[in-house]
Amino acid sequence: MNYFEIFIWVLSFAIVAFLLFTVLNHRVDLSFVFGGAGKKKNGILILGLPDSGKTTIWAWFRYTLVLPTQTSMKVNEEEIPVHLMDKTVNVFLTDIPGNIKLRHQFIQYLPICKGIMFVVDSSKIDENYQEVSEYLYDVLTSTQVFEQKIPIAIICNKRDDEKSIKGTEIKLKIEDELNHLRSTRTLALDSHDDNGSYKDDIYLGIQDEKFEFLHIPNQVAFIETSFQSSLDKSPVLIGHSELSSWVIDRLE
Amino acid sequence: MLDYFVIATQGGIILWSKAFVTIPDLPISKLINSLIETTSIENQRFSYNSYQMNWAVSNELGLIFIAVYQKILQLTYIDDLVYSVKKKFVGDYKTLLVNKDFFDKKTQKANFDFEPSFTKLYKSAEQTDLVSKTYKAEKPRNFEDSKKFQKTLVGSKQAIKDLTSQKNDSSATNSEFDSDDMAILKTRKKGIQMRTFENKKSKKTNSNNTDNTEKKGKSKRIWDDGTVNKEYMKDLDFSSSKNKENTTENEKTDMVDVDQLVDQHSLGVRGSDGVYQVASIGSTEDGNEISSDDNLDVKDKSSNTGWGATRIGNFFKTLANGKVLTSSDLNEPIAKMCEHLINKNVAANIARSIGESVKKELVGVKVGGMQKISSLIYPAMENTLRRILTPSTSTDMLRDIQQVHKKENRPYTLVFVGVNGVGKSTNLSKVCFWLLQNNLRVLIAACDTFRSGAVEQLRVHVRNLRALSPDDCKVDLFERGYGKDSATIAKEAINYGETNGYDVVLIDTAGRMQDNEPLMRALSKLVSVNKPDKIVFVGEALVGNEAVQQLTKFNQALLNYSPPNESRVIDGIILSKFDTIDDKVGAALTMTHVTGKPILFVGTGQTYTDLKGIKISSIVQSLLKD
Repeated sequence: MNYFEIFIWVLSFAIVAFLLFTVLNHRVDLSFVFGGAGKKKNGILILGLPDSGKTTIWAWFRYTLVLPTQTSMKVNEEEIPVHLMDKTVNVFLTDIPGNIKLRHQFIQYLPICKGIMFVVDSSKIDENYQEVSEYLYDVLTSTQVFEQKIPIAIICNKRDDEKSIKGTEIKLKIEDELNHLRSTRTLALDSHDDNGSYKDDIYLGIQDEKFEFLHIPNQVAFIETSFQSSLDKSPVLIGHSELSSWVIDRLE
Repeated sequence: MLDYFVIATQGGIILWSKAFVTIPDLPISKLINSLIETTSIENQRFSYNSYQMNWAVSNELGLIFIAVYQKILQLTYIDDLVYSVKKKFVGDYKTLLVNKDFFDKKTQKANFDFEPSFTKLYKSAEQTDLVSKTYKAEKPRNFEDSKKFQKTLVGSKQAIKDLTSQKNDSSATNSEFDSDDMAILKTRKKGIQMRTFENKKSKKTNSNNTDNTEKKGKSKRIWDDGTVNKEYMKDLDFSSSKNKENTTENEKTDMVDVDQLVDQHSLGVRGSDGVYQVASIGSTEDGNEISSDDNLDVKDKSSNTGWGATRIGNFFKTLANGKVLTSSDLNEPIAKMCEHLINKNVAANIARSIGESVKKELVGVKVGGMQKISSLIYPAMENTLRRILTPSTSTDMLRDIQQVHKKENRPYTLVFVGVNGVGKSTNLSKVCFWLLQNNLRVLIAACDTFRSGAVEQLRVHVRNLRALSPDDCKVDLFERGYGKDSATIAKEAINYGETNGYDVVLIDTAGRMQDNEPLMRALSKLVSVNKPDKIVFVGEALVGNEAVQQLTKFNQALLNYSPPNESRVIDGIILSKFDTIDDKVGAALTMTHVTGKPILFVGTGQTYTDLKGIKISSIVQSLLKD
């Protein structure tokens, strides 16, 4: 009889514990207690305007193939092993859609982020440098990127295109535009819910001096790449090894 | 026929595609952008330029299927094709898709060999369409099959014949109902005889016809002329007393049923006077009726005993362990969410359409172990709200002013529009203050030539602003008194601003109700004559359902009354009186959803400094919190 009683007690305790866990798990996220404690910080983000080649780069890392892509609706995210020479590193690679309404999602990934690839279409930069710069400004001034000095690689993609321009020219163009943006953005009105905090008032670079990427605490690299495959020509791959080594450098 | 078919992940990787002709991928990206930007797409069709696109998504596997074809072709089978391709593809490659094992590194190719299946499906879809088309084209419906036939003389005669023969059949077994049926028949026959009296000549052919129809054999005909005959009533009668003929036998079987369902002890008590006392149902002595009552009783009981169990069952049900969400699972929580939004002052139909889009996003999603449905809805809702509120264009007005000044060397023009008393002039003065703080030269054009005191009010503002602002900046009022045409005043003001080197011209207009046609016409004239850089709609944050009407009517008026090819709509919104609404910030969502345009500023008080930018995250938070 005694054993039976103990059995009943254990059983009821188990049921209560189970119910408590399930209920608590909804109310409070317990994942950081169980399992998620030692979560590695190995995120790399791929950002950029629509149609600049983000998903192609993501798919290249994932499948080592140049794949045909179309406009993304959702985030591509996966833990991917990146090989270079004799090294292998696991990277949590995330490709955020470039659509202006979906861009903001990158903020959710910043806590585990070790580096940002900002993809630019070198053949269209003459037309869309304003939009590129605005997006880049938003990335650079987001709190975590600024405070944790997350390194940024500006990837000048589609270098195979005849109309594309060099990375150094792109750099000058973006710096010039960021210089303008810095002045107008800091003069914009405070938002309604700030309660007097000045967290958003990040000033990029040095006051009273023209903006340069050297002035900001983040490391900024420029990598020229091309991931082009077409039926009639052999695939053109430029800069993919530099890209891989940049990724591996970020995580070591 | 079909131009292009693509199967891709929602992340944008094309898994399989087939191009029948070469087309640029422009229409696809347009479709996807519109899917992202609009929250509600009713029918799964989208057209752009000369292309029409049908699409289907599989949320479970994160896939999208798109078919592109020429709009003029009007292909009706595409819907079925997309659906069947989706079914086939998901069915064939389920394991590959779940494991995301899309491509083979060695062969450099996709793991899908979908070409033959697709061709088959496409062929069969085309074939069935062709068959149904030719069938439809060659064989119109027989006249005898149509409803109209019943109303003709021949038709009604035949019907009478049918009815009579039916009656004869039934009279053999059931004599009770005869009299009623006969009465109906008689009146009907009489009516037809009266009609036939006039043209007896056609009688012969009629009789021939009826003979023919008799050969066809009679079919049961349901009358739709409002009268109910006994046969029909029989069909409708679902009670246990349906088969009266072998009553005794029937009663026996009924009794057996009851014995199986409940034991006699648990039945109610039958009083000495034969009244059966059970619950609130007072029944009569009739045996049949009691048996039906018993059935009711049993039902009641089963639901009673099940009560406790279903409670616990419900708890586990809401956990929804490892199942795929269907639309019916989501109905209730989504409805709750919509109600919550309405409580936050979101316009009712907007809340509903947001609910629908969230639902569409979640249907087919697999729920993880021990997850509540609501825990899935919350982030989906948050994402949707954020997506709606996120502006689709830059809101950096200072940069725009710089650009216009640098490139075109003319002042940047802003027109403030809105209904009466929302604070157009007040917010104009606040915007002016902010521009002056940024060392810009501002000209205010007083185009409210209707309300008395409007010009004087602006004059006071200008005097105050001049006193408040740094010395080197410049603010002036351009006015031409009352009763003049506002469009010409605005035109003069812009010209004056251009020649005198102002950076910005702010145009104040008279408040007008959205239904006042002459005033709306005047507004659209002002806009089309002056082509301002931005048309700013000033709206109260207090407004509820009315916001939808105001904005759509303003937009409509601007579109309707403007010359073709120059149509403009509202470019941005200022939300005034934002300090008065606490967390009921629904108007912000309503207005952005209706127009798709950003909220440029919010007005939060009476002083010049009470103009703020909008913080989307805090709006989303206040919309979602209880």
